[in-house]
Amino acid sequence: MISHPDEAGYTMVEAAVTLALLSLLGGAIAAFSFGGLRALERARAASASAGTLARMEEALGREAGRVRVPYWDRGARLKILAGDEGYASMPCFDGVRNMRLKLSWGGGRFVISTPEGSESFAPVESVSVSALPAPEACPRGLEVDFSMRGRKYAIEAHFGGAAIPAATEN
Amino acid sequence: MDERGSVGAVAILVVSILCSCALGALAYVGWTIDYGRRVESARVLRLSLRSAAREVLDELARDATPESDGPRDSVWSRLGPRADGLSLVLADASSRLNPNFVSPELLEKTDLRSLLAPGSSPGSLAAYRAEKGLSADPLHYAGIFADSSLPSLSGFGWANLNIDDRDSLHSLYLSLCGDEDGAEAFSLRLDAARAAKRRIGSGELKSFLGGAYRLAYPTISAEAPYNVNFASPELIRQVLSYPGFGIVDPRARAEAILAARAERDLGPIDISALCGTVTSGPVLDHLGARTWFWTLEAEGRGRRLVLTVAVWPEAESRAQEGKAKRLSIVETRFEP
Repeated sequence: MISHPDEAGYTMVEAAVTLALLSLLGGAIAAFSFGGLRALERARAASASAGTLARMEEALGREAGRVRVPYWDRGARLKILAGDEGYASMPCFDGVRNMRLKLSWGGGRFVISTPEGSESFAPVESVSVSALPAPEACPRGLEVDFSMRGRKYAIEAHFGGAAIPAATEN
Repeated sequence: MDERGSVGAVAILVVSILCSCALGALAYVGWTIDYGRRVESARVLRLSLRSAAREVLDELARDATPESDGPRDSVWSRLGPRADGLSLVLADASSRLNPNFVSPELLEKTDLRSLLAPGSSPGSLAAYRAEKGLSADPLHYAGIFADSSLPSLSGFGWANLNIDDRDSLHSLYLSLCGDEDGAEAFSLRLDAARAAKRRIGSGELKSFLGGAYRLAYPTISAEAPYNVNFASPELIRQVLSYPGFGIVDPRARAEAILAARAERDLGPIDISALCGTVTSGPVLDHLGARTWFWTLEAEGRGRRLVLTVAVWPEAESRAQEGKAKRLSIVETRFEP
């Protein structure tokens, strides 16, 4: 058996240097991994926001398009109950006066309801709904302002039908 | 124990976990990007359909013959398949019987009554309107009219003070002006005019409607609802056969109109001559040469945009001022 004088062990300095190097390497790997995971999480969150936003815009546009106010009905109005837990409602869904498109929000969720069912979106905070005005006629659509993961957004959705404007607006 | 091997396994495990996270995140991002692309592509298609429809509407508004609308107008050259893969279809949407406004008398005294469902009567239509209200969708009247008649109906049109149902005009006034007392006064004035057999011409609308004119016009107007250039032969025959109009040999008159419209677009003077009447009168309150509502369909790549467009009546005076017709889009629908 060949004997090596070094095999008896490392010196304290060698062990300290080794531990320091391993700590630095481990720290760098950990930082890199956590940084990467954080970046991935940010990408996933941004992607989730974009996905929710796109789905919400599509759903709102689709359902608002089914609100068809007859051209003679100047009394159709968007009713809004503003607040942290708010509610908005528009008649003439599918052209029928007593069928409504309903929007509700609160607890981080935004819900679009029609007589056929509901669709929910989250996380949606600080919601405010307003009518897109048409002078002296019923609103031509609605605007939803809200925030999602700290960023502000606004979606405009147009109704599928609107009352005829007054004669003098030419 | 081989420590080199165990270090390798831990590293592979860590790398595998990281790779799985990354792949999962990438797949999610990829799905979102793909969804975003599909939404964007649908948005671009919607814009293309709108733009194609806008071109047709511009041509419709620039009509060189505002006194009459017919299939030989320049707008029809803009229709059909286009080089960009879109296709456009225009149709008269108002030269059909309007179940919202039609007077029970017209149904009672002509064969238009046969459009009603078995067991329905002109009176039950009036009662239904009073109870359920008006609707732009003919399906609203399923049960009152026979199912097979629904395609012959349209919920789009300007109501005519001289010929349409008094109670429908009252409801319409109320919806437009939101004034119950005003609606009552309007109905009383209408009753008085009808009792005196006084016809209210387009030029008298402002004075007749008074302060309500701004809100009520043109939905309440004095325009003939049916364009003889597009109305169905049966509707023309039945309107001419209404006993109160005193048309001699209404069937022959109807056939003369149909033969003439096959050769040219008919104008108001043609209609008077073909009906054998003076240039104004009850029959000309029904049959005219203008289309008040159009349906325009723009279709392509699996989507369809359907617009319903109202044409304001003052086209001729606007044409004299060099202005295009005034159009209002009253319905917009994307399908699917």
